[in-house]
Amino acid sequence: MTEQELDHRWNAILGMLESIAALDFSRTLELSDKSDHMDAVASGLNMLSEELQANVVARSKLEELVKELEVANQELQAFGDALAHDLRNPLLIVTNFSHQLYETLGDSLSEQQRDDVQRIWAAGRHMVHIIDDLRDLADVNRAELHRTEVDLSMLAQEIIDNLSVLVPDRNVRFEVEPGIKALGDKTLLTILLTNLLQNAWKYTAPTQDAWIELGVTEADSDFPTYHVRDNGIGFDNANREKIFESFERLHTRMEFAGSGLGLATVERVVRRHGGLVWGEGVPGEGAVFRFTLGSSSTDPLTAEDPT
Amino acid sequence: MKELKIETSSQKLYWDSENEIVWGALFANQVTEELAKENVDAQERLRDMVGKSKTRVLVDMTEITEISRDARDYFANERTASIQRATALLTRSPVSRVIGNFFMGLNKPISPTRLFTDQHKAIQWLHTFSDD
Repeated sequence: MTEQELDHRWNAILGMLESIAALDFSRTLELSDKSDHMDAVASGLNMLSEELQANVVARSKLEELVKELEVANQELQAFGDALAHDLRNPLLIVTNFSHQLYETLGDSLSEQQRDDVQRIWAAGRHMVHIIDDLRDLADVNRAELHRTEVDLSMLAQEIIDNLSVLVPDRNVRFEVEPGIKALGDKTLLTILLTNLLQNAWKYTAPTQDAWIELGVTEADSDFPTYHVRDNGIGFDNANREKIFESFERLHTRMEFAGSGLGLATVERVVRRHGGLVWGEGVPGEGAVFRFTLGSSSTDPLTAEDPT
Repeated sequence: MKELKIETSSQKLYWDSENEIVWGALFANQVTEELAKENVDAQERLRDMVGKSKTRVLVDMTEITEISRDARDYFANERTASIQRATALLTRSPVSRVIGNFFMGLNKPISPTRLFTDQHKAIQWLHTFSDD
């Protein structure tokens, strides 16, 4: 090979590298008939360029798809909001009037009629509950995450106090480690704790000497593990994955009221924080739900700066 | 003993009855997706001829200088894996070595595949897989 030929081949390779650096993947190097090391380099660059071009095309398609999904998601959210609003109001009217009917006509109704009206009222209330929980779940998904230091102990005490006011005849011992702090979004963490504590409250109803506990392990580490434990009816660990799915219920609505969205909402809140949640139960003895909240920079949806 | 069984526009396929290995000698410099498909079709016919469900394959790709991305994808896909028990690729030129490494690294063939420069080692490796 003459020096001129060698220069020519080197220049072609350098030109190809310049094109790749400029994100121009349209060039292809011609190979000689020597199948030597320079041809090997050229062949490698051709394949690399082709691969990069394919990735650029795939990425651009993906970006288009993400945009389309964002638009579809916004439309779906708007539709959901409208549906929830338009369904909730007439449903509230049905529920309130059926209750009023029961209150005012109760004595003049037969036992069967009273039972029927009560069932209308209960079913209506349940549907309102589901709509509210679905809205909460949607809010959890789209709310912006603002991490601050949240006093979980204080928050939990407020939630338990509210529950105690609503059901004053329940005597539940609440044990909370003082000063449990978490770095998270206060609104979302309130939703999380409310759901976990309401669950514990609900499922300890049949228990004598019921107690609920909020605690934390490895509090000083980067990933503290928080828990809500109770001595309620518990659950079979075979269902430990299933319980976090929407509308998944281990008990009938007659046994324990609820929409079946509480733990799904908990799971979303934890996921938004980049953490993990899991539950363990012993039938007849109680349950514990543990969760982490990820690092301060983690938000899989918005990747928002915690500051 | 190797016996020529099929010849496509880019490859000769032999059956080595002693080692029970399909030998492929690619003689085309440029391999397109069309040629890749033609060669896999031929391998499938040869597999049926010798009455195997899958065959061990040794392909000498030393002559290759160019192969398209789609062709690499085709050689790495499920269909190819469904007829090949394992594939040894002989890469005895700098260009074929680069192509072989790209194939292994970017396309990640589904069936067991390895690059060799030594034919005997390739056969030894293929013998570590059952012949059917």
